[in-house]
Amino acid sequence: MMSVLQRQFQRRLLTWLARRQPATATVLLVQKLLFVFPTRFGFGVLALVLLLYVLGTNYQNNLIMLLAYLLLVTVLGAIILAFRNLHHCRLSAQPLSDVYAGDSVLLRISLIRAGLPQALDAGWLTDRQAPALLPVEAPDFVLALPAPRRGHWQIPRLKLQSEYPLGLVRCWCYPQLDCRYWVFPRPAVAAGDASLQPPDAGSADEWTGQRPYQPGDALRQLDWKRFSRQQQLLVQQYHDRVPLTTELWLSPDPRLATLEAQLSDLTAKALLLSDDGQPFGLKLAGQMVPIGSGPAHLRQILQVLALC
Amino acid sequence: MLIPASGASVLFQRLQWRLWLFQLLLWALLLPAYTSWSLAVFALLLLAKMWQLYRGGRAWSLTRSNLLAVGMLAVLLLSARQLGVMHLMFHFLLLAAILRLLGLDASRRNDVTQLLWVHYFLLACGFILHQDLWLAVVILLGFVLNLSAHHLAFCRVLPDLHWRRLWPNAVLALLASALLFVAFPRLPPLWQLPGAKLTQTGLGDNLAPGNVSELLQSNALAFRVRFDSKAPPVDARYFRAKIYEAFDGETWRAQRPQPQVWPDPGSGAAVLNYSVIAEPHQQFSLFALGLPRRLSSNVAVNREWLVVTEQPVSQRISYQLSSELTPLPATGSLQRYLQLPEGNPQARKLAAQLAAGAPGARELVQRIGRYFQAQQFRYSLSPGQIAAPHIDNFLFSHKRGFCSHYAGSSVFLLRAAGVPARLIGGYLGGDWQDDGAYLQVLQKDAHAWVEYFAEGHWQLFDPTALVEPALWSEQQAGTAVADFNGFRGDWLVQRLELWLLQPLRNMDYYWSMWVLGFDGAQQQGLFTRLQAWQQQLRWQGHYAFWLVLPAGLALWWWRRRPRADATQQLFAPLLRLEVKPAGQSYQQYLQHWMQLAPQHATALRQCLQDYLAWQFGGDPAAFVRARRTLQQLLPALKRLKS
Repeated sequence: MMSVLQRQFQRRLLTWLARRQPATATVLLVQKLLFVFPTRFGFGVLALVLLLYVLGTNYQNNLIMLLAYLLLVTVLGAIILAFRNLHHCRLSAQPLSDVYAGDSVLLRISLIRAGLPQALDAGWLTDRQAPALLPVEAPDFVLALPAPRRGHWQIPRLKLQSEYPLGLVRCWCYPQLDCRYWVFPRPAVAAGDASLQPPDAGSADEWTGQRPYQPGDALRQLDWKRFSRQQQLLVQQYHDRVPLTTELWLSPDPRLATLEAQLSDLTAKALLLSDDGQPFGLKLAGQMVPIGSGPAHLRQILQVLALC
Repeated sequence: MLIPASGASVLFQRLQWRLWLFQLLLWALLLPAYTSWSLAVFALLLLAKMWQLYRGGRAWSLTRSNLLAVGMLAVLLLSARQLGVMHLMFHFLLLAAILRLLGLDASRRNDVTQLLWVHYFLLACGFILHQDLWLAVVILLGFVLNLSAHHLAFCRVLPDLHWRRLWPNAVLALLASALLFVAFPRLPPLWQLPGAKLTQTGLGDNLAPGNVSELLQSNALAFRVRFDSKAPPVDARYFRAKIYEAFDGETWRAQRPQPQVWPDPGSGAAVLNYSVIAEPHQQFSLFALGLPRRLSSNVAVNREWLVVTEQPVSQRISYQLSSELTPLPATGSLQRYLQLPEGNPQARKLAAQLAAGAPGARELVQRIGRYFQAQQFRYSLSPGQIAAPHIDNFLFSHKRGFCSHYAGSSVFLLRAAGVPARLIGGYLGGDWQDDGAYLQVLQKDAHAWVEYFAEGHWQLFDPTALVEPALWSEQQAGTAVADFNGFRGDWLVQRLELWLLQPLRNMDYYWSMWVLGFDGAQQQGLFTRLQAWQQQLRWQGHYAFWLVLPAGLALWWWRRRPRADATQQLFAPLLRLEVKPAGQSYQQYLQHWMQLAPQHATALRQCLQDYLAWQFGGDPAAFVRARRTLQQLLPALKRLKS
């Protein structure tokens, strides 16, 4: 019962927020987008103010009243300070890579302001459950988002919140960033299909160096160790082998029952061919991708598959 | 910018140190509320916490804290009756706070917030026990300390707070609090709260010679008075506090005064308006001159015209009075003012002798005064022990004593002669402070005198002043070093008191007057005055408005227009002499000047170098040098151009 109500409320909130702040590429956190409300501790301190006022009145003790007012002013000041902690922060988001269905997409969120917000927590506002918030420790931080289904998705609303500086007042916002990410079908080679074998380990490309990440680069070539150490995205570069000359067309395998299974199969094959450096094309019922090779070509193929 | 793993623990360590320091401060502030054994226990617990923090030990387990808490609670509840409700609460709260700190764990956030909450509350309780300025300042510092711990508890990295950024906020917060303090509605007390149980000070309910002589050597403050108009002379400043009516041969006893509303007799004599700030003395009685008529609402007057409160005075109290300096109308039965114990036959005989042939009570009183003067009685603060029967021995063999001896004997003589009389305890005189702004009455100004019944009224008679006329001489601050026979004061301490403590006492007085004594009536008065000002201002209102508004707008516009940058300011005099084409750099411009005035080329080159050193090297001293060089050059360049 409660969860139904909660979900109803969440949906209402999302429609209201959609009207209030449509998606934009960068969001500047202005007054319209920031919400403030006392925390439980904040209400506790307000109750203390009331208690001290009554105590001061009954003892006719002006100093206790003075302390009560000082505490009240502290709570009021905390509202402004909590608001200013997030105010005028500029946000943007960028997916780190394309992912396969069932993985988690990593999104890099950037905060831009002189003097960054303190003690910030961030998470996603989805209509399924209460957002799990993680502490933010750097102006550029990475948030993982589960990507269960293939497609080209818009990121959900972010939730940023902070109780800085005194924990009396929470300031939070739900910015919607216009940022899309690709989820490709999960690669799965159909059982018994021996037409395409993975290349031998021995014939792997020769490593030639690293270069900065660009969108579209293969995820498996990212230097993850380096990213976790230095938050710097680098791509391993391998020397291209001489491409094979045979032309190859991929098309759905009619032996597979479901569309998803066919797409997974095609994805797996496309990946294997691309790894081999084999040029290939894609023929579907309504679409065709001409023969080509290279990461951009592979990405085009996978995007077509994701949107099927 | 990831926090190193130890960052959070360093933060938590600092938080704990601040909380510990705050608890130490609380322990010291609430000192008067605790018994010696509880003080020792709390001190030990605080030491344990210090040891834990110092050695980086683990937090106490919940079991250990709870066991200790149960033990302490049992002892506290056993002694609950002695402690009183309020002190019991202080004990509970501080105990809970210290034990919570001992078991504080970084993972339990709620514990920290609860601890902070209790700290704020206990700090406020400090104000129940202390109201003077200096401790108020200490409590305010305690508030800042707890606030800093509070802030630290919600930081993820070590905060770098700069005083420059903090002070505007602090000043704003203080101003806002002061505004709330002045303007926020005030209520009368909603219900009675248990007061602090402390030992009584000042004039007690029993007047035995021993405790009076102790009082007469105490420099502690009793109360302070400010007169609205001209103050009465010293021989009229008898502040009544207690009436001692029962005598058992050695000690005079007072009844606890019952507050009672009594109709205003209103004799129409001149009225004296004054306000009193009394120190807490844990008793019901307060101080008033003569016949108190109008009173502020926090005090009452009883049947015998004593000013009293409903609760023992446990914190500084400020009240306003209007008094008539006339004899007090007698009320009720006079029989109890004739009661005397058996004994003292010589005194009774003397009373009969003095009364023989005296036409009335007044004449008898004068004869008693003359007797004291004629028989070479002496005033002494340390007359030594007088053996029983006390009155006889004092009057006929000892003949040395202070106020309570003289007044007590006089009352005895009057009663023995059939004149209703009573012993009055209170304070006489006082020292003027701060150029006569207020009267400071110390415990050593305590005095006892006589009221006897004559012509339907209680008349004042002070036999001690007849023996020691110095009591009636006005003491000015600075000359008030009492040099009575036997006074055991240290000269150095007295001087220190005068030069160091008195200015502080003056500040404390104004603090009491304007902050502690601020009540609903004063708030009303302030608002009325503000309204009067507003009325006065109204007719000039729009002129002022039309003047101020454009001025304000102009100022705003002037402030937000782009400022000439420093470079432009530097070269402005040159630019007025020779136009700089757009797109030309200042370097080129100065080189152009060198061609115009080759005789000043070296100075100009120096200026250019300084300019470049400032602009690109960031050397502020170079800017100053460049400006100085230009200023020196300017007259010559002007001559050149003209």
